[in-house]
Amino acid sequence: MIIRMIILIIAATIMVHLTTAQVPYLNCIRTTLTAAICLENFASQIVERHNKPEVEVKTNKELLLNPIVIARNKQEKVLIESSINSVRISVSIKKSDEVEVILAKKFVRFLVQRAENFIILRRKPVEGYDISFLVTNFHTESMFKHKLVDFIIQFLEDIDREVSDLKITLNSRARIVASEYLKEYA
Amino acid sequence: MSNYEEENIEEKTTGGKSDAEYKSDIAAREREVTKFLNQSKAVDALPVVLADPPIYTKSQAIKDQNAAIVINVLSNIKEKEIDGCLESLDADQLDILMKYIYRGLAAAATSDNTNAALFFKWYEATLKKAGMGCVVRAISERKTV
Repeated sequence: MIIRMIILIIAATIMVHLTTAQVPYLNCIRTTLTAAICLENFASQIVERHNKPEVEVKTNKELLLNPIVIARNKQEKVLIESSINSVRISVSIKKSDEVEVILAKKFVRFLVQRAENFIILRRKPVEGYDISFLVTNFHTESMFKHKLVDFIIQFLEDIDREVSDLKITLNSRARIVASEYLKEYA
Repeated sequence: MSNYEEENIEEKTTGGKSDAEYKSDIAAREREVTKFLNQSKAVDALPVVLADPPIYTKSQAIKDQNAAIVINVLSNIKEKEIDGCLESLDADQLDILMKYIYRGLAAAATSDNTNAALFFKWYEATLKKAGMGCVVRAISERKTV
């Protein structure tokens, strides 16, 4: 019992440590996003009466800004691609083992299936990343920019916690299932 | 496709030095920086590496080569010294520094031995000194490093 408590305390301190280590990473993303989300309405230069996010269609180099990658390590990184009327933010989340890979995949899938409820969520992530957002000038017109940035930062904060929570639940469930099953043979 | 032709524009704005000149410049800079680093005076090497970055070349290899030198200097400066060495830089140097910090942050995605935490420190310090405009210029300027 005591050992279990000690383990829990250690786990909690590790969690706290992780979140504080995450702060500079998130701050950096926050400032970069604030700088990148300066959007204006911009109609397509090629098709009459069309208005497309330039970061997606990439019809013209002069409308695109330099893509920025911010990485903590090989797994945890974001890619921020900006253009005149849209910004695409792609996130790669931390996956420390195979269970987390599956959990992250399922969780992201769950979110993406409800993409229209999240408004700025992109249905398909950019290659090499787990989940993508697409902010266009229409979003910045109908919503506060700082709230949009807050939402993305909050999302980044939550998703790691969500995945590790899922993993803990999964492990405890597996333990109960195993012990119940093996009781038959006791 | 469109009425804007990238090649023509590039041609007009291409100034500065040729690729060969940049290459010899970078080699000379590398020697100078190594000298500073050997005397463990990384702080003094900072203005040297921020001078005249290869912004006019189209060759990514040359930019990578220079970035490697800058990132090496940045990672050799101690955390305590960061604020001090930013004091002596002017606005243009800070802009260039910010672009290299972003390169440093991107480097952590591909290599294991990059210390991302140090670059976050650099980022915060530079942001505090130079402000938001510095970030905007790093994202939007065509003169990439």
